[in-house]
Amino acid sequence: MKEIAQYVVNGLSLGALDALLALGVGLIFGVMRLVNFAQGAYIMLAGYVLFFTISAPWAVVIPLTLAAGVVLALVTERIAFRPLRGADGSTLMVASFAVAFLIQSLMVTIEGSGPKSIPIWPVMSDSVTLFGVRIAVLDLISIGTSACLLTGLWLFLTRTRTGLAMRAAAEDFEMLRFLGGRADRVIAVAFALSGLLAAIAGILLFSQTAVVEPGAGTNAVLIAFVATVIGGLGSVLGAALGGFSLGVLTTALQAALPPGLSVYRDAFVFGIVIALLVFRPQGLLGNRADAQRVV
Amino acid sequence: MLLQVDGLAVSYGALEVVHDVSMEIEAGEIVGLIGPNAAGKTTTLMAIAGGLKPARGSIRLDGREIAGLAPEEVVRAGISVVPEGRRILGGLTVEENLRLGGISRPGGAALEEQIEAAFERFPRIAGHRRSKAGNLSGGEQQLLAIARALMAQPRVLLVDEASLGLSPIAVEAVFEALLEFRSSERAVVLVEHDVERISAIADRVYAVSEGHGRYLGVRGEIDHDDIEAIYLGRRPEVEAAAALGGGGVA
Repeated sequence: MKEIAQYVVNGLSLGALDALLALGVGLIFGVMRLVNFAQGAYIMLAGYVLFFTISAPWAVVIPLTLAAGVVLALVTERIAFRPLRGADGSTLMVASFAVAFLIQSLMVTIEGSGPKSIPIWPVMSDSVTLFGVRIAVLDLISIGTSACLLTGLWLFLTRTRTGLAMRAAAEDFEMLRFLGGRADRVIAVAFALSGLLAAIAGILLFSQTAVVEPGAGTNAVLIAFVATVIGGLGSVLGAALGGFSLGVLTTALQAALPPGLSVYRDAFVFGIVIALLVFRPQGLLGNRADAQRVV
Repeated sequence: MLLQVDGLAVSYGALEVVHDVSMEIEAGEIVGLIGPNAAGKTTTLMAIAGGLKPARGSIRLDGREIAGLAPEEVVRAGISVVPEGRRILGGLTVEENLRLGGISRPGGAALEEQIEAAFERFPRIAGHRRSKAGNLSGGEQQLLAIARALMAQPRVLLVDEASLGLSPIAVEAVFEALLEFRSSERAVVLVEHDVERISAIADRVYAVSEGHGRYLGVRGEIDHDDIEAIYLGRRPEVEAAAALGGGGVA
C-alpha cells in the first residue's frame, strides 16, 4: 500500500513537471502556431542562472532565475520570431531550432560544453513522512508549485481580458485582431508566460539532476512537445492535461513493468502515445483542424 | 465624407486581384457592394478592415488616412467588420465573444453595461449568454457577430455576406439589426450576393467586377441592365463601342 502511495506521489510530481513544460509550449503554439523548441534554451538558461547564483539567498536566486527565463523568451520573440510572424509553421519551427542551437552555442562559447554541478539547496533532497509514506520535499514542492501555477494560469485565462484574448487567439488569431485585440501584446504575454514556466520547470528539474550543461532542456522540450500533442495542439488546457497524463503514464509503467522490461519503459510510453494519436489524431482536447494543420 | 476609398488596389503576392476601387460613404448611409464571385468584394472589405495591405490607393476615415493600418488599429479608428462566415469564436461563450468585441474599449463597469445593452438589443442571443457560441444556430451566430462588432462602438460597420446560408426569418432579423445601427453619425458597408435584397436596403450601391469598382446609383434608380452586365461579365462601354463600329476596343 505504501509502495502504491509512493508511486502515486512520484506520478503526480512528474506529471506536474511535464504539465508545466507542456503549458509553455502550448501557450505559444496557441497564439502563433509555433512549436517553440527554443523553450529548451529557456530551461537551460535557468540552470546556468542557478549555477552562478546558488550561493546567494533563495529569495534572490529564484526571482533572478525567473526573470532570466522571461527576458530570454521576450528577446527571442522580439528578435527572431516577430519578423517571421505570418510565416508557415515549418519555417517557424526551423527558426526555433536555429534559436535553440544559437543559444546553446553561445553557452558553449562562454562556459564550455562540460556539465556544471549545481549545489542545490539541501532542503530539496530532504524527505518528510506523511501518513507513513516517505515523500521527497522536492516532490511536494513540484506538486504544490504546479497546482498553484495551473490554478493561477486558469484564473488568468478565464478572468482577465488578456487571458480571454489569448484563448481567442488560440482559436482564430486574425479574428481577434479584427475585434481590436493587440497582436504584439498577446504574443509577448504568451512568450513571457512561456519563459516563466520554463524557468520554474528548470528550477524543479535542476533541483533533481543538480547538473546543467548547454544541451540541458532539449530532452525536456521534446517531452513537452509530445505532451502538447497528446493534449491537443492549440488547447492550453489540453497541454496541461497531456503533460500530466504523460508523467503519470511514465511513472505507472515504471511501477507496472516487470524488471526485464522496465528498461524499455519509454518505448512503451511512446507506443501508447502513437496508439492514442492513431485513434484520436487531434489529441485529448484538440480539434481536427489543428491536427490537420500540423500534419 | 465619413469613409472615402480612392483608387484601391490589393494584391495577393504578385497577383493583383483588386485593381481600382473607389467608394464614398456618407454618415447615415447603408452602402451596398455587389459583384459576381471572385470579383474582389471581400478583398476590398478586408483591405478597408486592415486585414490586407493595399498595393495602391487611399482609405480615409473622417479625412484621416488609415490604409495599411493593422486591423486592431482600424478598429480603434472606428471601423468594425463582420467577416464572411461570421467567424464566431465557437469555443468561447456568447458573453465572452461580446466581451472580446469590446476589447478595444475601456473595461470595468462601462463594458459590463455595454454587454447588458447588447443582450437587450439582441434578445435572441440573450438566453444563450453562458452557452458556447459554436452551439448557436446560423442566424443567432450572425446576430452575435453583429452584436460583437458593435461592442467596439464603430462609426462604420463592414458586413460581408450577412444573409448567406440563413433562413428568411433569420435574414430579416439580421437586416433589422443593420437598419437599427445606421444613424446620422454611422454607416454600414454591406457586401451581399442577394441583389434584390441589397437593392431594397442600401441607399446607394457600388459594384466590383474583375477587380474594378463602379458606382451603380442610388436606391430605386439602379439600372438592372447594369447589374446583369456585371454578373454576366459584359462591359456596356465595350458593347456600345462595338455597336458604333468600334469593335476593336479591348
